[in-house]
Amino acid sequence: MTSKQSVKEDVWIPTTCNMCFNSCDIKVHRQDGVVVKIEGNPDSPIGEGHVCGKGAAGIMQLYDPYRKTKPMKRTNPKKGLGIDPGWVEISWDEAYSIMQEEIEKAIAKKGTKNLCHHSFITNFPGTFNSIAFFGMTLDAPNFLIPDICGAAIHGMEAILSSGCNAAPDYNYCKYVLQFGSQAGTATRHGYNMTVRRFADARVSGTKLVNVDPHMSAGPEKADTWLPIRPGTDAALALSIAYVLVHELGIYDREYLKKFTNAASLVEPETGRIIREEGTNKPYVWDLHDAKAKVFDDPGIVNLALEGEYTVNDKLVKTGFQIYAENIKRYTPEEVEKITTVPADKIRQVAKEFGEAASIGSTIVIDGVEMPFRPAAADSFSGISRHKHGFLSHWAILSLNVLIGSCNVPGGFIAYAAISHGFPETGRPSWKPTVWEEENLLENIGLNFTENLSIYREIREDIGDKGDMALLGIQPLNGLDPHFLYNTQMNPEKYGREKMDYLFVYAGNPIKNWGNHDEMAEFLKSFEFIAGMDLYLNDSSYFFDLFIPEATFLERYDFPPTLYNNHRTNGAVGVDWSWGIRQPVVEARDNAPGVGDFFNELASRMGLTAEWNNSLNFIWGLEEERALSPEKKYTFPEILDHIYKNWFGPDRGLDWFKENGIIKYPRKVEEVYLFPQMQTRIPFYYDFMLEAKEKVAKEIEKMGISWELDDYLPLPDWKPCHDYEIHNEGYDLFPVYYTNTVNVDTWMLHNAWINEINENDPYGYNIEINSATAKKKGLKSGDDVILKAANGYEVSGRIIVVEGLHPECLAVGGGCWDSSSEYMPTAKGRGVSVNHLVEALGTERLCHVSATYDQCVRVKIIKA
Amino acid sequence: MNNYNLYVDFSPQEAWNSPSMWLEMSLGAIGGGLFIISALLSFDLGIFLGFLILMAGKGIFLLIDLGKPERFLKVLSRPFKSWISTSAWVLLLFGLSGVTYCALLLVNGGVGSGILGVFKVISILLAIFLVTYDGFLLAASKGIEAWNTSILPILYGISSLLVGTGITLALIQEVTDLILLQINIILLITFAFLVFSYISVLKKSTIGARKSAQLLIENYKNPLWIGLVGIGIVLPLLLAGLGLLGLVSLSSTLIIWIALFEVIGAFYLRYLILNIGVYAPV
Amino acid sequence: MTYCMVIDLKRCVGCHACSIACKAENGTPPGITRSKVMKKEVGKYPDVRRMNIPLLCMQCEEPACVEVCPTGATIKGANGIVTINKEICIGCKACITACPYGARYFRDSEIGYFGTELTPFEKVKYAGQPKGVVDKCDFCQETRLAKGLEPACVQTCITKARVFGTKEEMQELIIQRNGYRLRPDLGTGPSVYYLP
Ligand SMILES: Nc1nc2c(c(=O)[nH]1)N[C@H]1C(S)=C(S)[C@@H](COP(=O)(O)OP(=O)(O)OC[C@H]3O[C@@H](n4cnc5c(=O)[nH]c(N)nc54)[C@H](O)[C@@H]3O)O[C@H]1N2
Ligand SMILES: Nc1nc2c(c(=O)[nH]1)N[C@H]1C(S)=C(S)[C@@H](COP(=O)(O)OP(=O)(O)OC[C@H]3O[C@@H](n4cnc5c(=O)[nH]c(N)nc54)[C@H](O)[C@@H]3O)O[C@H]1N2
Ligand code: SF4
Ligand code: SF4
Ligand code: SF4
Ligand code: SF4
Ligand code: SF4
Ligand SMILES: [Mo]
Repeated sequence: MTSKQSVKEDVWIPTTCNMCFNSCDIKVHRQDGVVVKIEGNPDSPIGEGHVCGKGAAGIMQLYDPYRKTKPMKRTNPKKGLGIDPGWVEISWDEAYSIMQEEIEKAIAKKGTKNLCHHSFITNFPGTFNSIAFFGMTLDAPNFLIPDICGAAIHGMEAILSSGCNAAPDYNYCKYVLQFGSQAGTATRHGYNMTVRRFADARVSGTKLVNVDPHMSAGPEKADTWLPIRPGTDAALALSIAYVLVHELGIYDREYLKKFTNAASLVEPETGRIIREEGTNKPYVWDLHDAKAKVFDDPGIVNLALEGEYTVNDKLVKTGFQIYAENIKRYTPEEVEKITTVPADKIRQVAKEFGEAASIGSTIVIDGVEMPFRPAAADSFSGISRHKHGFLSHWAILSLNVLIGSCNVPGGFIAYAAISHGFPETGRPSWKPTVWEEENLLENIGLNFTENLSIYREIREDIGDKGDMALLGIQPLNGLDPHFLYNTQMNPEKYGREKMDYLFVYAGNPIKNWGNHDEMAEFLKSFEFIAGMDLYLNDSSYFFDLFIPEATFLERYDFPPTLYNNHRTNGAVGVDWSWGIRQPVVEARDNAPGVGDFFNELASRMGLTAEWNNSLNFIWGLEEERALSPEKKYTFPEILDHIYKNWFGPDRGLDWFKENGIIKYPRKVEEVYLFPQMQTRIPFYYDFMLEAKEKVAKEIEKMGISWELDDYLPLPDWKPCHDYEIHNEGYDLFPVYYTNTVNVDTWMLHNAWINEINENDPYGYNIEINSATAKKKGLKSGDDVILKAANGYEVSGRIIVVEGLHPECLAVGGGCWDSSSEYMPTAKGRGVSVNHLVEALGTERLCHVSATYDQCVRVKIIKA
Repeated sequence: MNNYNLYVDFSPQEAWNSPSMWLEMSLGAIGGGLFIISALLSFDLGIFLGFLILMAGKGIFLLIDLGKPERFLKVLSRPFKSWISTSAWVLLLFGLSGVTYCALLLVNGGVGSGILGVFKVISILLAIFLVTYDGFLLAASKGIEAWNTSILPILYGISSLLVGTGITLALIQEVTDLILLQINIILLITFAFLVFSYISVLKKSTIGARKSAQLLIENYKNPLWIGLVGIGIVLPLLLAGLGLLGLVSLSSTLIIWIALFEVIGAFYLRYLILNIGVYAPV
Repeated sequence: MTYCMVIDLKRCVGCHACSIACKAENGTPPGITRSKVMKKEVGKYPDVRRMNIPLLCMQCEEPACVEVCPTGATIKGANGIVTINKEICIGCKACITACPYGARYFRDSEIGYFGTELTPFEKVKYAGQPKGVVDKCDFCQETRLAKGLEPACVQTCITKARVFGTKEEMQELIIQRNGYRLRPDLGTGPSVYYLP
């Protein structure tokens, strides 16, 4: 019941949600200037008219009195959690000048490499401002991202699907095998686009198997839950492969031959694929002629997938043969010991998975006939948060290759591999390129679409670039700069100079990684930190300048779903859709959006030309549609250019403000790469060995120590840091999970969300398995301390459950328990188990992909 | 611990677990019992006191317990359909008849007359309704299975008559009135029997009721065994028994102790009933 | 005609979108959760299931709450919806102890989520939430059905687990999917059905 007085203004304004990075299209109900309801925009495939709980709770963020809306600077030079920074409000003029002065000071001291910016998923389109400003306008090479999810996996997805983001084809998939992820039940990219499709699938009989130590939302909905000892998923995946290959003989031979390089001939001693001199084309074996031929020789009659042969007096084996031999170690019985998953369960899942793939079958969609492989393995964060992340994701996703489900209907497909563009303009359009010598699929980039090639990078571009993240010696890690923590803390060791300036956009670096005290030291290593946020979060205790941002309901942003390939998982029947984020109400205290802010800062710093050119590049603004370097535009004018560039002169910003979204049908050819592209994905990763050689040379030059063990041509399992119990009594693994209503460190501050969490029996408590609790003499409601052997500890209250591996403890978020006085609702609620993990040092990092090992054994002590 | 566990686990009722509800029920029982017994014995002091305690105790605390006390007249809307509404009417009628009865007693100086007798009978009947009513009210609460039993009104009624006799005895100071003391003992035994029947009924009943029985026996064992059974039943029974057998002298102090223990027992009974009320999982 | 809701537990992922959409639409203050989603574990590790059970007022055919209400504030309408007239309710809470489904809430203060100072949203919305009376789900009769819209929780449900209509319209789905009601032994006859 609303107020009885007659309502004068009553409007619904289309815009885009930002309560998580998924940017669902919404409609906001405003009555007499007050936002009274947020609903999904039913016209859009991005959310389909539904908002999740977080989205609906956007109102509580908008009207949250704890939000900061005026710029502030610190007056107390002493930095530390809980130490009052002595914030004083300043004018916007002063805020801009401090930004400018500090940036210029830092550049004057050590050049632009002295600048670092930290930003990524919280406001994904917003992040493109700091990328455009620091990375492009200033050409500053160093950046940080908060994510410890995408390391390795986006790279693997790039290799297998071109998309950098891929998912099971929920519309057709009949068997989803999830590892360490709750895609489509609680989390992930395009959550609100997949969750309904996945529910439909469940009702129509699609089976879900979820591998997770904890009964998170994925396992809740699974037909089979495989609780696993953390960090052992690769062994499980390889055992499934073992059963498929060695016990059942189920694998897609035709697919492997045609769409992968599995048949390439490999020299066992070197592990390298043998190639034709000059062209560098791999050799394969033609059984018909009993002879090696280059892989694309049109004369090949009967390609050998398996076997050993002699070429030039040397014994060679096919890549697949070596794979098959390699996985012999992973019998279900052996793997049961590693993973705790019973051997008969492994066999059962392998059999179901293999049979569901219905190898050999085809499907006709919209008149196009394609292979039909309705089974897919999927993995994400739970796998990335371990040491050998690259190998693990690879072991899992290679199951898709084995059954021939990559890039075909029902299988594992890129979110948006190909775009033909808006029919009237043909923009934006993209298509993956091909690595010619081996006919391998290249990728379309992660954030905005650009044609990238891991193979070319390995061939041509390995070498120290002088960046803090050492990305030049991690060719398979295009994205994750987390080695930067170590170079910043030990610059001499890496031949680097410590950075002085940090800009943090919409992130909480002290909480999103490991031990908070170590992270505090990292933050203190900067002379100056500016942070742009809605709140004074934990990390703000280390900021020197606080720049408030307007909420998503009060600001413009770049087109929220960008190029549609990071968080909008396309499928047949899911239209292309592009939306707008626009202010629904006036910003409190006229706080700017991040776009307004950088646009203004660039102009004040005399960088308008560079700034405009950066945006021209990111948004592909060309010819008369480009921003003129001379002109200072307002941020909305820039948006106008972007929209008109893509959708024609009649569909500028005003059109989008009015209409909200534009959509048009997605064609089958834009969804499935195979068989329309007669190209291949790797099965035997020869390029890993090529990379290893080059990285080895480079690190020698650099004089640093570096791990090369994970550069393997085939996936394998390796134990995590704390796989063994090193100290008696330190026997439990804390794991954390995300549920639908929470996002990282900040959502629990939302009063409606907090109410849900408080009422959730698991909400802010530590789950412990009933058998373990009994053994330890603990019961629900007991207060406990979790202590790691490194001395770090956290405390909380336990709740005894059944849905958890007996060797584990589980908490929501794992980064909650805010220490900020300025976020009273989040303060002291929940348990931040990542505080138990050493944050700095390289022992816990995967040296191929920078995944971070959060497997830490703890002792549970009754408080 | 939290709200949501509530309906998948057992959850305590909170709506009526307030001091005012407890006082309303307890004072209603004490006043009502005293009124009934005293009226039967034509013991004026007990009648006046009982009337006051019942009207004030029940009336005031019922009002306090309402979210909107200013709307209390609305409570009269659904007599014969809702227990609260019916009881409000009864309370109103009892107020009228009781006032008249008391007034007649004062005016007539206790001399019997036809009219007085009529008001006496009406008032006693209404009071009997009022002392059992809380039991009916609770029994109508479908959500709380431990309350859904016809034993409750009887238990409440007997408890009320028990304290009624006890206090009347203490007020009369007529320690030689052995009949009343014997009645008190019979009521004590009946009460004890009802308490145990109630617990055994709970134990064999629906899952919500069984949970309440468990709560009663495990979580509330002290209030149950020491408060209700020990102080409310065993002690007065012992004292009265010893007195009757002449093993201790039937002094007025002894009678006052008996009455006091019984009053405490009445409070404990209602405290326990309100506290063990749980919703069952759905 | 009797309104009816069907909740498909196979679809439901326990996301709480329904609960929060209800909060927003019906402006329910702290502690009043007309829509809520319970968690329940069934079985023992490793053969255990965690279920999500969304709850709301069951709009019972034989509503225990109506029976006990002394004022007639709670009534059952011809469309099957049980409503509370907050102008009449005296806050006796008899309906709260009567309801076996925990569907009713007593508003015992005037505070909002940030204390006594209400946000602009709360100022507008809490007009319908006076202190001292009881609140519960009314299938959004007042806020949405009256405008021809389906309930807020149904509108937003991200898995389309909630279906709303008349009992007649739902019959087929209920039978086909073996729909059941909560605590049928109580004889309350809920109008909310669950699909396993
Ligand atoms: N223990 C643990 N650690 C984790 C994770 C985990 O689940 N558990 N997840 C990991 C992953 S995968 C990721 S991606 C990272 C995420 O890590 P971060 O991106 O650092 O996420 P948060 O810590 O939530 O910080 C987000 C900040 O953005 C602010 N914010 C919210 N909306 C806006 C807005 O519109 N504008 C601005 N300017 N600020 C806004 C919030 O107030 C908050 O301070 O954490 C990683 N670390
Ligand atoms: N609601 C919501 N949605 C989100 C986000 C959010 O914050 N909230 N964040 C977004 C972002 S940035 C990301 S990265 C994604 C994250 O989405 P997901 O990848 O689905 O991440 P989590 O929900 O954290 O799930 C990780 C799971 O891995 C399990 N796990 C831990 N260790 C292991 C292990 O060794 N093996 C296996 N098999 N499992 C393990 C945990 O118990 C947990 O259930 O979600 C995105 N979507
Ligand atoms: S999934 Fe994310 S973007 Fe979509 S409605 Fe929920 S919070 Fe908003
Ligand atoms: S919105 Fe739908 S899926 Fe989410 S909890 Fe409610 S009923 Fe379940
Ligand atoms: S669920 Fe409870 S409140 Fe709703 S009609 Fe039934 S008894 Fe009444
Ligand atoms: S609280 Fe209100 S609605 Fe409930 S029974 Fe009492 S008067 Fe009726
Ligand atoms: S029907 Fe309306 S009032 Fe009832 S739970 Fe759903 S949204 Fe809330
Ligand atoms: Mo992430």
